[in-house]
Amino acid sequence: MSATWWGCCCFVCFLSSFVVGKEDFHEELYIKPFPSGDVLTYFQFTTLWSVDIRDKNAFSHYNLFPKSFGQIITKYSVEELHLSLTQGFWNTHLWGYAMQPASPGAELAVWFQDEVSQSIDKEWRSLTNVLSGQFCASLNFIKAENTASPNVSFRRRGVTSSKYNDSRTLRYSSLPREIVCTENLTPWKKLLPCDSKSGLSSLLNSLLIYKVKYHSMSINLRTICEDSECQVPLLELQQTLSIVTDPVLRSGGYDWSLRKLFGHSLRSSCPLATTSKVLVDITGNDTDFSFSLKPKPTRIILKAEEEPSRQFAVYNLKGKGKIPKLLSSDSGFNLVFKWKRRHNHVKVPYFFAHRFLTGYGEEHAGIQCEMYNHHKTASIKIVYFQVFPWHFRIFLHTLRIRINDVIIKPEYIDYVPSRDRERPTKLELALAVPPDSIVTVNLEFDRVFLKWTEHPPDAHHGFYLPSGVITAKLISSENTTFPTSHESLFSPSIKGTKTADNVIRMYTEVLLVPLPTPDFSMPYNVICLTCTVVAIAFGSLYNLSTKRLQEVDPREPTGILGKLKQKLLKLKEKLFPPRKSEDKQKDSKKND
Amino acid sequence: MRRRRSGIVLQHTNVIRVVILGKKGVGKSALTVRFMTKRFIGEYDSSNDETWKHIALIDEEHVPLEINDTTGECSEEKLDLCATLRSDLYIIMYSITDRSSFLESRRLGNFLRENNSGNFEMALVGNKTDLEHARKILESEGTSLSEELECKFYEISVAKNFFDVEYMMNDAEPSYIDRLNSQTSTKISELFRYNTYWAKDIIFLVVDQNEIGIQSWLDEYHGIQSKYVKSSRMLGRSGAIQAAINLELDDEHISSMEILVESLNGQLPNLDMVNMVVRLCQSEGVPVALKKLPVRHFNDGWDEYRSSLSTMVSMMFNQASGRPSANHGLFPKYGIEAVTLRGRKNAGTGSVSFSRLGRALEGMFRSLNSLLESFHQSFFFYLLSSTSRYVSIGLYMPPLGCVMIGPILAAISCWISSVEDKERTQKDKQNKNSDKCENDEKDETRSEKTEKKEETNLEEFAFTRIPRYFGKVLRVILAGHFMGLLIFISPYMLRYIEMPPFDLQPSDLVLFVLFGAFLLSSSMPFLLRLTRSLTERDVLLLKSISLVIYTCQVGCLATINFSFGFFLAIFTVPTFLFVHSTQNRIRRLFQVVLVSISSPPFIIFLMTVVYSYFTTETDNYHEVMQNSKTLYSDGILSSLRDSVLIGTWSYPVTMLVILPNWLLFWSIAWM
Repeated sequence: MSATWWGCCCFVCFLSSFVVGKEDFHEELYIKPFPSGDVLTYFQFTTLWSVDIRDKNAFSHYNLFPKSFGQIITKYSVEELHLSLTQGFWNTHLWGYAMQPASPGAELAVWFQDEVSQSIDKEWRSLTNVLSGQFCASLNFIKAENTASPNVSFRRRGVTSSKYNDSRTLRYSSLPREIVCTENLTPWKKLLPCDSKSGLSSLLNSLLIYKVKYHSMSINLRTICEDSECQVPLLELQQTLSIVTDPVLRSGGYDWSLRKLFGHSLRSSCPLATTSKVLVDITGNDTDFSFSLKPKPTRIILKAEEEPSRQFAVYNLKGKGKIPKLLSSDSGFNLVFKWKRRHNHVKVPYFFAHRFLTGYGEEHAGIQCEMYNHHKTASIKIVYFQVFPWHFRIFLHTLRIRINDVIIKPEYIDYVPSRDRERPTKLELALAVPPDSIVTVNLEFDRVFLKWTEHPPDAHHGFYLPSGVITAKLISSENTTFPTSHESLFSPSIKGTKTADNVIRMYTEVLLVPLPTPDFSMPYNVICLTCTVVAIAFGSLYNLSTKRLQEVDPREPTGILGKLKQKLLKLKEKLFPPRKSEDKQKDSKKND
Repeated sequence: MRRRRSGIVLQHTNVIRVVILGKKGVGKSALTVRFMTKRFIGEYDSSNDETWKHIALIDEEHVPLEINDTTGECSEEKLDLCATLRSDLYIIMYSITDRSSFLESRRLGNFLRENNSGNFEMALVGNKTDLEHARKILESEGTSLSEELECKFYEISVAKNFFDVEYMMNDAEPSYIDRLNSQTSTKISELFRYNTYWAKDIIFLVVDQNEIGIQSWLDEYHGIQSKYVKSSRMLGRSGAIQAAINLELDDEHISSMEILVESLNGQLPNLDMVNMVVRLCQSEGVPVALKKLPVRHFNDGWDEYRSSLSTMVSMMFNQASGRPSANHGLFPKYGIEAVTLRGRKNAGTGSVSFSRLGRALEGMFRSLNSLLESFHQSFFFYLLSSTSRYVSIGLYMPPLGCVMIGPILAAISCWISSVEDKERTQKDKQNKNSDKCENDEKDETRSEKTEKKEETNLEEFAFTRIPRYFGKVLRVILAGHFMGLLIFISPYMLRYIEMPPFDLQPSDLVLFVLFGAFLLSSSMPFLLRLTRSLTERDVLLLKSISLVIYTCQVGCLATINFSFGFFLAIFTVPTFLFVHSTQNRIRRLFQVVLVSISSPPFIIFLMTVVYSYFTTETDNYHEVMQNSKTLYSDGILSSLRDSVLIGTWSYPVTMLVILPNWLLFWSIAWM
C-alpha cells in the first residue's frame, strides 16, 4: 500500500517537474564586518525556475516559486521587477557601496512586456495597487504624479526579448515617506518556500531586525540564461534583506555572534533549498591577527582577481561535515566573531555624493548635490537622475553644474517639466567627474502653496524630496560590499574569474522640505481680527475720505419748534438775501 | 542594554600651560615678552628655561597662563621631558629666514605628535615676517607642514606688530571654557550613542568667535555664500534643522540654569520650546530662571511684583536691542527654534550635580526627537515675566494701540487745520476779486460767484485731495530721508580712507564720523530757516504727514519687534505731540530741548544709563556714568558691526527710518 502511495507521489513529482520545468531554491547569508564596527548581514534567497515569463500557460503550477507573486506578474505582464522597502539611510562613508542599493522608503521599478506597451500606464496603476495589498505597503500612493521613466539610469538587469531598447516599457517611482515595519516583513517572508520555519529565514526575528541602523528588503525578478548560448530562459526571483547592525547597541562591545544579532542561533537549513551557505568577508585577516571566527569555516576562498584581493570564509550548511552536525546539535550553529585588534581606520570611498537643501525662509529654496571624486587619476562617468514631485516647481534656467567652481555643460540632459497634479519633473544628467575634483549640481525651486485640502494631516512635518539616483562606473571594486556581478548566487561569483564591471548605484539623502503651510488653527482668530480691523480702521478712514465735514452752528436750535423757526428763517433769507451782514462777518475775520 | 547615565566627569584644569619650542634664535623669548608686556626686546640672555605666570584676557575672560619659554637646544631627553609634562598648548616656532629652524620645527612637531598621548593643542608659528626680503621659507610650505602636523598655522612678526601676537595667542589658546563645553558635548554624545530611539540626527556644534562662528556655520549649512566670512566645505550635513539648544557652561559647579530666549531682531522661539526646556529642568531638579535685572530690595510687600517687572523689562531691553542675547539667537532666522541654557554659579547655594543636568538635557533631546511636526502654533509673540508666566500679544498690543491713538488724532487735526487755513485764504482772495468785479459788472458776475462758492464748499475738508503746496512739504521730507541716508553710509565711506587722521583708533573714528554726520544733519532746521520757504500752514501739513509716517513706523516695528516699537513710542510720543511751530521763545526753547531728548542717540544713551544703573550694584554716580559711556560706544559700534556680519536691523532701521522722521520734528521744533 505504502509502496504504491510512494510510487504515485514520485510519479506526480516527476510529471510535475517535467511539465513545469526545473525549480531550484538557494539560501545564502553574507556577513561583512565594517571597519566602523557595524555589521552587515545580507540574506539572499534565490528561486530559479526554467520558464519563459511570456508563457502565461506555464504559470499554472507552482512548486517553489510563490504562487501569489507568480499570478501577479503574469496578470500584469511584467518582464522585470525591482521592489525595495527600506528603513534608514545607507552610509556610504562608513560602509562603502551598497550590495543592493535602495532609496529610503519604498522604491519600485518595473519593465513591462511588449504586448502591453499600449496600456502600460493602466497596468502600472493596477500593479501598484495589487503589490500594495501583497506587501502591506502604501504602494497605492504611486500615481502618475510621482512616476517617471528614466532613460539612462535604469537598465534591465536580465535578458530581454523586447524590441524596445528605450525606457518606454519602464516605470519607476519612489515613495520616500514610506515607513517599513514588521507588517511588510511578514508577507515578504511568506513568499519563501520555508517561510521562517526553518533555514536562514528562521533568523529573521522581527523584534530585533528593526532595532538596527539600516534595514532594506527587496524583491527582484528578472530573466537570466541557463547556459552561455541563452537557449533556455531562467526566471530568477531574488529576495534580499540587508541589515546593518551596530553591535555596540546590542551588547556594549564590538564583538558579535549570530545569537547577539538575531536572538538565537541557527538550528536548521531549509530542507527545500539546494544550497544553504553562510559567507563571511574576512579580508584583511590573513594571520588571524585582527579577529577570530568560531567555528572554523568549511573552506576559505581567496579572490585575487579583483584589484584589492578579498577573502571569504564559507560555511556550508548542507551536506556532510561539521557544520550540518552543529545545526542539529542542542546549541545550534552560532557564528562567533571576536575582535583581537580593531583598527578604527575607515577607508572612505573615493567617489561619493552628498545632497542638501540650500536657502532658508519661505521664498528661497534649492538643492545642491555635490559629487566628490578623490581618485587621483581616474575620471568617473556618472548619470544623475532626480524626480521632483510637482509641488517643487523647478526652474531649469537655474541649473548650474560646476566642476571646482567652473560652470560646465552636461554631456546629456533629459528634462521633462512637471504639470501640476499630473506628473513630476524628471531630470537626468550625464557627465564625467574629473579626477580629484568636486562636481556640484545646483537647482532652485519654488515652494508651491498647496490647496488647503491637499495638505496631509501632519502638514507641518514637511514634504519629502525623493533621493537622487547616481549611477557611476567606477574603476575598481574597492570599497564595494561585494564585487558586483550578474550571477544569481554568491558562490559562482566568488569562484568565477570574470571581473566585476564596477557599475554602482548610489542614492543621495532624502530631503524634508517645509512648504508654506497655513496655520489650520488660526482661521477663527484671523476672521475675528480682520473683521475688527476692517470695522475700526477701514470704516473710519472710509468715512473720512468720502463724507464731508460741515461746520454746524452750535447756537442752532433743536426740537420741532426750533427747526420750524429755522426753516422760516431760511425762507426769509431766500426772499431777502442779507448781504450787508455777511460782508460784516468777513470784515471781522480779516481783522482777526 | 547598558545605560551610562552618571558617567559625566570633567577634568578640573584651571591653569593653561603653554610651552614654546623652537630652534635657537627664532624669537621664542621675544614672543613671550611681547605677549606679556607688549614690548619688544632685541637682545636678551637665552641660557635658561624660564616659566612665566601671566593672567591673559582671552575672549573677555581672565585666564591664568603658565608660559614655559625653553632654550634653543632641544635634545631628545628634553623633548621627552616636554612630552611627559602636561601641557595644553605647544607653540612651535621657526624663523622664515632660516631653513634649519623650519626643519627643526618639523622634527619637534612630529616628535610631539608621536610621543605625546595627552590632549593638547599645537600651533606652528613662522616668525620674522618683517624680514620679507630675506625670506627662505614660503608661506605655503608652512601651511603644508601645519596640515601634516594637524595644527594651526600663523605667520607673524614679533618685532613689528603686537596685535598679530595677541591675536595668535588668543586664537591658539584652547580656552578652558571651550574645553569644558566640548567635553560636556562629548559626554552627552557618548550617553546618546547607547540608545536606539533616536529618530533624528543630533549635531554637536562647537564654535569659535561666538556669533560669527555660528553664522558662518549656518551659512555653509544652508549653502549661502557670505561676503565677509568664508567657510570651508562642509560634509556632515543633515536635513532641515528642527531646534537648537545652546549650552553654555562656564564652570563645572553649577547652581542654576538661566534660560535666554531673545534672538536676532527681537525674534523669539516658540513658547512651547521654552516651556519644554523649563519644565524638564524643573522636573529634574535643576533650578531654572530667566535673566533679570537685579532687584533693589525695599521693605514692602511688592517684591514679587517688582521682580516680575524687572524680569520683563530686562527681557524687553534685550529684545529692543535687536542683538541676540546669546549664541542661539542666529538660528531663528533659518526657521530653527533655539534657546540658550547658561549655567550660573551663585555664591552660597549648592551645586547641581552633572547627572541631573544630563538627564534634563536628555529629556529635552528626547522631546524634540519625538516631535513629528515642526513647532507651529502661533506662540511666537510673548513677553515673559517669569518662567511660568507670559504676556501674550493680545494683552500687550492694545496698550500700544492706545498710545498711538494720540498721534493719529493729532495728524488728522493738523491736516484739517492746515487745509482750513488754506480755505480761508482762498476765500479772502475770492472776496477781493469779487469786490473788484462788483464795480464793473455786477449782474453778470453774481451768478458765477455763487457757483464758485459752492465749488469751494464742495471741496471743503475733503481728505482725498492733495493740497497744492504739498510738493514743498514733500521736499522737506525727502531732505530728511536723504540726511538719514548720509548718516547711514558715513561709516562705510571710511573704507576709502587709507590712513586714519589724528592717530585715532578705527573704532573711535567710526563713532566720530557718525556723530559728525548726525550733527551735520541736525542743522537741517537752520537751512530751512535760511530759505524761509515754509509758512505756518506748511508746517502744520509737515507735522501731520510726519505724524502719519511716525505712526506707521511704530506700528510696523511693534509687530516685528514689540519692545523696540514700545520703547520708541513711550520716549517720543509725548514730545512729538507737543511740538508745533510757535512764536513764543520760551516754548520754542522748551520744545527744542524736548525733541533733542527724544533723539535716537539720546534715547540709546538714556537706556544704557538705566541699564548700567541696574546692572552695576553701586550707587556711585561716577562709576555708573563711566560704565554707561563704554556701554554706549560699544553698543553703537557693535550694532554697526552686527548689521553687516549677522544681519541685525537696529542700525539700518535707526538710521533710515527713525532718524529721518526725528529730523522732521526737530525742524518743526525750530519753526
